[in-house]
Amino acid sequence: MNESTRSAISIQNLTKSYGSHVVLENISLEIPRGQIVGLMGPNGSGKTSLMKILTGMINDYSGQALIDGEPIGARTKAAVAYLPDKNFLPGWMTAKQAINYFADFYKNFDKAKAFEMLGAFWLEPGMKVKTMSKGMQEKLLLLLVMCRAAKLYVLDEPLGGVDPSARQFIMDTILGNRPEGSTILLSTHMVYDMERVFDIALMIGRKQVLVNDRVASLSARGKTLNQLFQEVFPYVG
Amino acid sequence: MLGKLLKHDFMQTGRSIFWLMAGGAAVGGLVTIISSTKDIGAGQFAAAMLLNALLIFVALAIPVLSLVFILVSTNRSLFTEQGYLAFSLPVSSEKLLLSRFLTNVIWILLNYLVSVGLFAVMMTNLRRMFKNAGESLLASMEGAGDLQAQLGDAFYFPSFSAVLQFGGLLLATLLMFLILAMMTAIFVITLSHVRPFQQMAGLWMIVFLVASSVLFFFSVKWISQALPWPFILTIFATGDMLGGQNESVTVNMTTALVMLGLSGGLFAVTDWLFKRKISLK
Repeated sequence: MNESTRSAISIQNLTKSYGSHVVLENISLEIPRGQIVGLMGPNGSGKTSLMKILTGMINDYSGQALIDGEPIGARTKAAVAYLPDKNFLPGWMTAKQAINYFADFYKNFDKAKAFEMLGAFWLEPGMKVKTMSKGMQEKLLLLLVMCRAAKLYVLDEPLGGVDPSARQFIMDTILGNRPEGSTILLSTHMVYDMERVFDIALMIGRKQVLVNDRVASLSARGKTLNQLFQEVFPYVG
Repeated sequence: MLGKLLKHDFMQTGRSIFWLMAGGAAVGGLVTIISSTKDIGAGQFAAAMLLNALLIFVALAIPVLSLVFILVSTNRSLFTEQGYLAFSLPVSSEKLLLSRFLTNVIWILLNYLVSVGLFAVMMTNLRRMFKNAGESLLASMEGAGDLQAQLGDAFYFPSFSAVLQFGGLLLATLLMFLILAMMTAIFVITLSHVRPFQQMAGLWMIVFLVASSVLFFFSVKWISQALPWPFILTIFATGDMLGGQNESVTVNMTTALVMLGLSGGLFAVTDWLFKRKISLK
């Protein structure tokens, strides 16, 4: 397969279990490049597990997962920017040290842009992570991830637990800093309002991929994302 | 990339462990200043003796505390939320592991050197104190003369070059033990975060550490009995620190090769766990 036709994400027969509890069972899917993919599903459906597999945080699974045609490893990690649903920075680290850390390891990290964004986010370079509020920590993590010119952004619940204005700010930051042609995989429970953002709706639950469809084709069928979500997961909400 | 990893790991670990070293060195310096005072009375002499005795506890506490700091730091940086930072770096698992291992060995070694230095400072202080105290003071203190004689015996070295050779051999022995111990510790920490041990990782970590120590003890005992020559620490077994030194060096080289082989094996298994069995919570 040549470079231009390779999928951003390619998964074949992937199974992940925690002991006897199977979370993802023999799933296969392809995500084309350059798309914004909404990963949706109820709690415990395997969204975070799937993201951890794609970013190398979990490697005890069976099946195959490829990023841009490559198995998960050091090369894919250089191309993937991952925002987990928890603060991964040590408390003693200052915002400036965190930026320097990322600049040291990621060739695609834009240090000048990071310091510029730090000012725009009202964050002090000398402020330690442990003294920051939860919101400030989330802003710093988002900044670190979005200042990388990555091929794939894996964003785990970036909109979880934030007020509507902060949600708008986060989405603007993500969409405004995303390089052209990059792919975004974003997990969320916020099905409302996301129709205009997502190109592809990916819904997982009951250990399977239940929906992997273009949002535009849903609209053509007269369905909203929210209606589809209610149909697929009638027991949720 | 290994250089950058080393730089950041060294800085991160050093944040707490450096102050432990610096604290130990400062205490050593302070006690030396107090012990250097001339024309002191019996009360001051006894207080200085007590402070020097406390140095032993500081010297013993430093290696133990540094080991605890290192283990906690390794666990935290790889397997807590900070593990998301470590495992998302665009580096191979071998480099991630090697950097953490080298950082730990260097910091522990530095702390051990400070600890050994504190023992030497204490011995020097005591000798100086007895010298400064004068005959009349020592005669008035029960047992002081005996202690002075014992210190003299303990602090006797045949020559400077012999001391250096002994020190070199001791350092090499310490280093190879340290390499194996550190690799075992990293392996144990990694294993305790692998399914099915992950749910009670802390408990499993202690169980594995105890088990590996017991296994190590009995292995050394068995190998020592099975081999025609003593397996480890022959420099102490000779009864004379420098007697039979050539034989000791040869035997220790054999020991070093066995220990390095074991460490290499543990590195390979831990790297395999990094590649195939990681499941960060």
